[in-house]
Amino acid sequence: MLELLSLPPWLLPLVIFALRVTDMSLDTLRVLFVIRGGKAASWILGFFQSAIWVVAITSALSNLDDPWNLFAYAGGFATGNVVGMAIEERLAVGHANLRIISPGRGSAVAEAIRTSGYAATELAGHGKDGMVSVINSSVRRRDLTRLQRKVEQIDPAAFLTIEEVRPLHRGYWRA
Amino acid sequence: MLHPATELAALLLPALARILPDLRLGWDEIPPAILPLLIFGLRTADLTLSTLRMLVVVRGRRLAAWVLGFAQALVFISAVAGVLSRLDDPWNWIAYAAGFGTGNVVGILLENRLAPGHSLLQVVSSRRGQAVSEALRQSGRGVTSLAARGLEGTVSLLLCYVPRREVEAAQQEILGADPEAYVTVGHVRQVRGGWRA
Repeated sequence: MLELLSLPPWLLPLVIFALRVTDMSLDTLRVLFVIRGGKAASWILGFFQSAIWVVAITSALSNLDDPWNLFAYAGGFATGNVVGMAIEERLAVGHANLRIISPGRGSAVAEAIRTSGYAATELAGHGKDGMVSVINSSVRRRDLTRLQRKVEQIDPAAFLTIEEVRPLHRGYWRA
Repeated sequence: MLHPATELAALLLPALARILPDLRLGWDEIPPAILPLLIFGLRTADLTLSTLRMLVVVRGRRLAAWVLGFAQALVFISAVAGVLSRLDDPWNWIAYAAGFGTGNVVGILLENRLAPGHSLLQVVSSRRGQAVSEALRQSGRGVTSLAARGLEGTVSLLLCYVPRREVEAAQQEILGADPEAYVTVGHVRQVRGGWRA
């Protein structure tokens, strides 16, 4: 702490910025673990995140006469936030439920999902213009875009929704 | 090509750089009676911005998330600096905490008002499934009905995706057609395709 305050004034904003980016990135990871119930990992990440944050805010608050410290603090928060979003997208952990309502080509869509190694459950439904197929499929978020594109290729008229799902049990996973 | 938000930031940053030191020096000059009000206002604004930021984060809008995050952190640190400049006055702490509480509530109201995204309404109707889907289609909503089995025989399970803003209206339409319908509302992340009148 004391060493931080004795940094040259031009360096302090950079340090504050970097601290804030780090702590917000850790925070994103922490939230990912909290949602999945990883207690030990959340504790460790929470500990480091708040420790880094305390250092960042005290450095900014004890040097308020230089507005660049404030900008660095706010800019670090904003950048860390975006970095966190990128990390989240890259990791794409967890599962999503893909629900497809297909007026004409339900069985072809289900078949395509199955050949991609995922389970598909077909239901017969009734829509405005007669019979439709409702297809439910739980997939890993990482594979979502690929599968979505495949479905759209087979049936451009399909109605597609995506829901995030909590951990699931059993079922058929990957041949 | 520059995004409008980037240009805005480029305009605001130098202005803020000039104002902020004055603002900080101002902490000592602000009458003690007004300081709590100022802290309260800043803290409320901070949390309101935070709500908006979460809304754009969920939709993956990075630039908007950055701009809102920047503004939020600036407001936050000003509020903290205000409290710390006069720790001996307990009204400053109370204002800080009350601002947090109020900002939370404002955030919820704002979120409900803006209500982005879609919801999935699942309706279980034991007898009047047909009437419910007709009522929904009449208001221009797409409905898919499935035959399902409940405790007392065949029931209709209806799926209907609506913009979150219209959930309340759709619920009224459903209950108007079948007051005994069982309705659940779920959050949907993404919708593509489908029919709307």
